[in-house]
Amino acid sequence: MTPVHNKILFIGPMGAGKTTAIQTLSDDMAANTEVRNSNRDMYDKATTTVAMDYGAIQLDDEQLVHLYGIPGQKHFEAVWPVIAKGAIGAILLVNASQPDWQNDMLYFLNAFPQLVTSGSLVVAINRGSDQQQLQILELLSQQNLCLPVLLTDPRDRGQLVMTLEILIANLEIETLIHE
Amino acid sequence: MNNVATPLISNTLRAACLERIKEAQSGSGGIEFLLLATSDGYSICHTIPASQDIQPSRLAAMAASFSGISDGLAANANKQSANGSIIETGHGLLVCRQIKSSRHELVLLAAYDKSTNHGLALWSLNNAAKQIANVLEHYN
Amino acid sequence: MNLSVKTFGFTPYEVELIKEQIRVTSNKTTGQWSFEGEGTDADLVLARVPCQGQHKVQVPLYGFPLPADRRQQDVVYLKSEWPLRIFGLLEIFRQAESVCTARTSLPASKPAESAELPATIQLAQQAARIKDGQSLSVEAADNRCYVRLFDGQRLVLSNLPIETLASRLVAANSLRFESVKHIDSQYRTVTPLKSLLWSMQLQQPVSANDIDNWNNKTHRLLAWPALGQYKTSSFMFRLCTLLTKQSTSIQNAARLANTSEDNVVRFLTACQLVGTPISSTESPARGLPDLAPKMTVNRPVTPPAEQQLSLLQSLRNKLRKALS
Repeated sequence: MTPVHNKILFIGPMGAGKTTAIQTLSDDMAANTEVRNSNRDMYDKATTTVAMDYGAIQLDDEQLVHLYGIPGQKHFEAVWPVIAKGAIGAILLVNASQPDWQNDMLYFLNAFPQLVTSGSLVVAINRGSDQQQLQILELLSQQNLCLPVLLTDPRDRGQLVMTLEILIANLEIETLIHE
Repeated sequence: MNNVATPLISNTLRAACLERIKEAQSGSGGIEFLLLATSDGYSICHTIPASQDIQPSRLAAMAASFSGISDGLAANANKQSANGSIIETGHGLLVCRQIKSSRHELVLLAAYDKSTNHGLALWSLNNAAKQIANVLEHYN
Repeated sequence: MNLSVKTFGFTPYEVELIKEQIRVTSNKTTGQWSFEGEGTDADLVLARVPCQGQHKVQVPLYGFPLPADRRQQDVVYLKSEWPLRIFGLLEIFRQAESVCTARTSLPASKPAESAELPATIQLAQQAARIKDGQSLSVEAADNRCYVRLFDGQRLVLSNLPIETLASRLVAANSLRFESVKHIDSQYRTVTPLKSLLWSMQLQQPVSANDIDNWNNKTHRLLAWPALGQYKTSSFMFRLCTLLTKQSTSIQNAARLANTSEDNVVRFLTACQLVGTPISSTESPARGLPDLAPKMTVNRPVTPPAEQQLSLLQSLRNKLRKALS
């Protein structure tokens, strides 16, 4: 039997809120691989994910939807495809209070081209404003990309659920138009 | 908060660690190279020959990820935390050893040739790790 | 609708930049905008220096307010930032289209409280005419709200939650508009006009005329709406995702998004009202499958359809339960 794919990826730079988002959505305690951050000049955060974050949503029929977070620092780029393998969709979290966050967003879009071209990616702006949401829509338009953009607090389950609802809608439509 | 020092960028400490891993490699047969990285994936020093097509920075990141996974796996199996992990290949072993001191969390990666068995590999890497741990304590 | 745009008072370099921006936006607007060089006789004039002439809409980009006595009474002045950005330009085109449509559809002598147009369109058209510092009182039965142009953004001041206000305005159908100077301090709920128009449009009854406007064409969204700023639901997410992937007829969109054709029409009109660019193309014949190429290349995975849809439905149910 062909397995049903049920893996959702959280991508984005260090400090964007991926670990928090997975913890917020997961039913049980999410697992992570956080270690002490030795490079606080780059980002003043006590810990950083080095391999992946993991969490899961248990469905009624005992199926699990797996949530994986990548390590956000760019030197872990070699690890990203390993974590991303088999993902049906991704939430790209960016932190609008970080310098250069818009370029970071483009960097991650380039790093996951399959998810971008299939439209299986939602851009979630953490600590952003309505104006920044419009700026990102404009920036994507300039890059000929048509992706959903949301303001999302990774501690807010309701907002995260909306990003997942959009991914679900995308997958439903993809499934239907490929039938 | 931004002025928190990154202890391992000290050139003195880096040089001392390099000296130890060079000694460990020359004192034990079968080691192809050693690489010392921070637990968050930055290379500190290594003995990878320039002639080999290996990117130390990439290896450092992957070794840190591997150690992170090992720790997570151990914790989820009720084994608390991992001390090290082994990758078996057709061309020899890759062994990761975690080194933790009060101020530092490091990963020591060693590549062994095909002739080295598990026992020898673990024994030599444990010795190298102890040497590094001594250096870390000394520099604390 | 063919519309003309001219620039006035820009350097040749700036004119070239604007020309290029207009080219980029060419398939993202409802109207067909053509750039006709420097001058003041066009539907829309982008002005770098104050000017007067035969035009319906002017965008002053000279960085200072134009004194009231130098404003033309028959010209609608829209605010925008210089240098222009693509989205800024699209917003200008959208508002200008709204003004030009209003000018052609509403005779000059007709009273503002026309009941022939849907309430949402009445409000959109009247709000597009507001000038800087002006406020518009909107009255429907016993409900009142105000629209004010503030810092380039049209805001609604009300004492009702946005969804309630939207329902009441739509239910009243006939709206009364009046230009006012002062706004009563009790009107404290401030919402972007776009959010109100979106909510109103989604409650608006759909007429045969509305369907005709969208029928026999395929439609494609060229950007996602700014989700989160508008009330949304699952069928809208499916419509967004479908319509951003391929140009689709309203019939096909309704089938794939599992909703009604009326909802598709409401959604497309709502997108149009809030300035989400839509490209519409004449379809060869009604009922034929959509011919537009699909964008869905390099899918990450190919799951079995039934199982996948069942999993997604379970996930949606779970997410809803978690929030209820």
